[in-house]
Amino acid sequence: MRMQRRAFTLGAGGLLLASRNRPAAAATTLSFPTWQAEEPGFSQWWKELIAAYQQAHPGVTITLQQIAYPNFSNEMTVRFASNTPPDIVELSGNNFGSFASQGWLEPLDGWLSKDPMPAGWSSLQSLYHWDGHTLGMLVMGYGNMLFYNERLLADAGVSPPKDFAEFIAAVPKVTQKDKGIYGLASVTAEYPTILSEFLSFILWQGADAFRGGNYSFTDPAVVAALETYRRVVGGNAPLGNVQTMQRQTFLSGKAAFTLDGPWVYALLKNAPDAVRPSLKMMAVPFQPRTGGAANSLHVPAGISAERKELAWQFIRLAMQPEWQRRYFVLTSSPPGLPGALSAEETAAAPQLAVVAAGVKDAVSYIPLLQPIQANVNEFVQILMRTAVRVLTTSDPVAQICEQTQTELARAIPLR
Amino acid sequence: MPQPSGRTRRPGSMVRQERVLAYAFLLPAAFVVAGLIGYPLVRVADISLREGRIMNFARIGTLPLGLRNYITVATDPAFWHSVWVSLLYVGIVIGMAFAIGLGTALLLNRRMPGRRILRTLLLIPWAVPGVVASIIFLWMLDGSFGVVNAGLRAFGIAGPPWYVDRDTALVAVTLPAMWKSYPLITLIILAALQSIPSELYEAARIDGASAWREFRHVTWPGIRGPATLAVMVSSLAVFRDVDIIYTTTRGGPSRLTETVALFVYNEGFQYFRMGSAASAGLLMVLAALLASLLALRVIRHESL
Repeated sequence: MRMQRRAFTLGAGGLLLASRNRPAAAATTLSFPTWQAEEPGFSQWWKELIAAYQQAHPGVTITLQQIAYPNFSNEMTVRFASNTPPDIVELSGNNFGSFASQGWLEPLDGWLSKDPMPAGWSSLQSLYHWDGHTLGMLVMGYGNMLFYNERLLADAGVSPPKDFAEFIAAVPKVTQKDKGIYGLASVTAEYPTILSEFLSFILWQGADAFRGGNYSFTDPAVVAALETYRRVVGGNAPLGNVQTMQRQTFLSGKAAFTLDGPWVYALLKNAPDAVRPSLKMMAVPFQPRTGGAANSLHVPAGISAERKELAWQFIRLAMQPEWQRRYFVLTSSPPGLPGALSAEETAAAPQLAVVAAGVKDAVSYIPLLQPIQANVNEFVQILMRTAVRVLTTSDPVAQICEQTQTELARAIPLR
Repeated sequence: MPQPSGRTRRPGSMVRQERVLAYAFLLPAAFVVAGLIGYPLVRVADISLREGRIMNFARIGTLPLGLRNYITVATDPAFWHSVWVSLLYVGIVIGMAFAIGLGTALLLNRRMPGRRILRTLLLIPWAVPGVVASIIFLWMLDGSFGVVNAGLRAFGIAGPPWYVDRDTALVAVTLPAMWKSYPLITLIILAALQSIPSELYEAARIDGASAWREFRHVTWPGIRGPATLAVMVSSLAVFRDVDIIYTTTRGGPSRLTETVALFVYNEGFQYFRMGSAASAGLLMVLAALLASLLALRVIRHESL
């Protein structure tokens, strides 16, 4: 009954909102490819949102199209490159700069001046500022969460850390490699998400690898921070792990800590019965809180004005607090407006408050420098190689940093 | 001049008509081939000659023509490194897959119980998608929890993290590729083995030939042509393979497993440098074409 009432309220809200400035549209179909059309939670949100939109826009149909995530970026690239973009564009955080630099995304400033984003919108929205324009709307912006195994920590006589120093002291105390127990489960292979921990380790130790908008990997503080990264992660996490293996290691009770996105909370229920009660989640207790944008919505530049307007209306609907709350409840992942939850919703799912705390004031671990954003894949490739080299070889860290700096400056000049 | 018996001379106009008719029948297929293969190749060649970085195919024709992409690729040490890695990768995979494929084909050609089931089971790796095969090997060779290192630990040996260790990564990526490649080789060689007349083996045995001589003088001449074909087809498949390396190492560590196919993929879809990707891709197509022509010559020579 309550669900029905909520769906009605959301639908009616959407209807009211969309009735303002609604363009005339008759039998129009908007294409909307996503990698989440079949993902539990996310799929339901998109479908409910589309239903509300269609109810408010008679004659407009949105076709939700599932494209597997590994193929998504390539398919979008080909569609934009061949001048046949979808009408509503969803992009993953790392792809935004590449698409923006091609002029493929329509500035939203004109619309936003009439319908600004709700107060309390995530600081990670700044990722979508490009050449002085806003080119997209954050759908999910996350802060990294610290997951820990309470039992392994207790067995080693350590408490959940309250700061970075306690964390790096706790990790080696738990590691017993001969028993297959590790202090940390991390991505330790050339896999893009290795950068989250690699760059966060630098920030958490107060160093800056992009000081003054330049590469500063040779800065002694950065070198020292990466020495710590080698010692803590390289010495206490299984090497060669990609993301699935990192999560599997933690869920099977073989690692005391793992740093990951808040959506991993939903996976804890898959842990074996003996392990599950020991697995806990907390907001990362280090400053700055690092995170990133998981996905965003955009209006493509290469479609008609009428279709652009309709696409914007969809984005506008998604931005409304009631839909932001619904997103958080259905997906357990922080939306652009993470503080929108009611007291009742927080009481029903206390972990959502922890997730909301984790994303508060979060900063992107990938620096918001336009040349880097435009070439983010190349940036990620170079630093992936650096991270694995730091972890798996005995090459001097200072030498690795110097070579990384040279390679970055040659591939992606910042000045 | 007398005509050969049983054959009558057809008037020239009839021959011409037949020829025209034959070309007319071929025309639809020729159009399809031109559309599906020729047009994309011409487009790729065009993109490879466009100087500048643009991803909009509709505007790519506005860029000036030139050879800069080819010069960039030819002077890029990463490209030549990827060529070397490709040669090693194809060589190791096909070498191992051929040895296993030949061995299993010889084994399955013998009369033994369960032969039919074994032949069916043999095809399973061939049917497994590359990504799935990669994940299986990724877990088996996992440095900490993999079954391979667990086995090594039982003998007091600490196994490496196979896919991130600079000394073992290339060997580790060849394993799933080899596992997927050998069934096709087995299948082709097995078919060839079954076409060798049994009388030849009987004659060899009567002459007192050893097993090795029997293989060298009866079996090998009978399977040489099909084996070359199997090697050629498998080599091309392995040469253009991206999914196994992408899933296991993404070309790492430090580009030690980056093949030309992955180099092209990265240039095009990771770095948006379509010109470089197209020029490297065309060089790759040319190399594959040359290798195929060479192999075809060998096969033709064998069948004469």
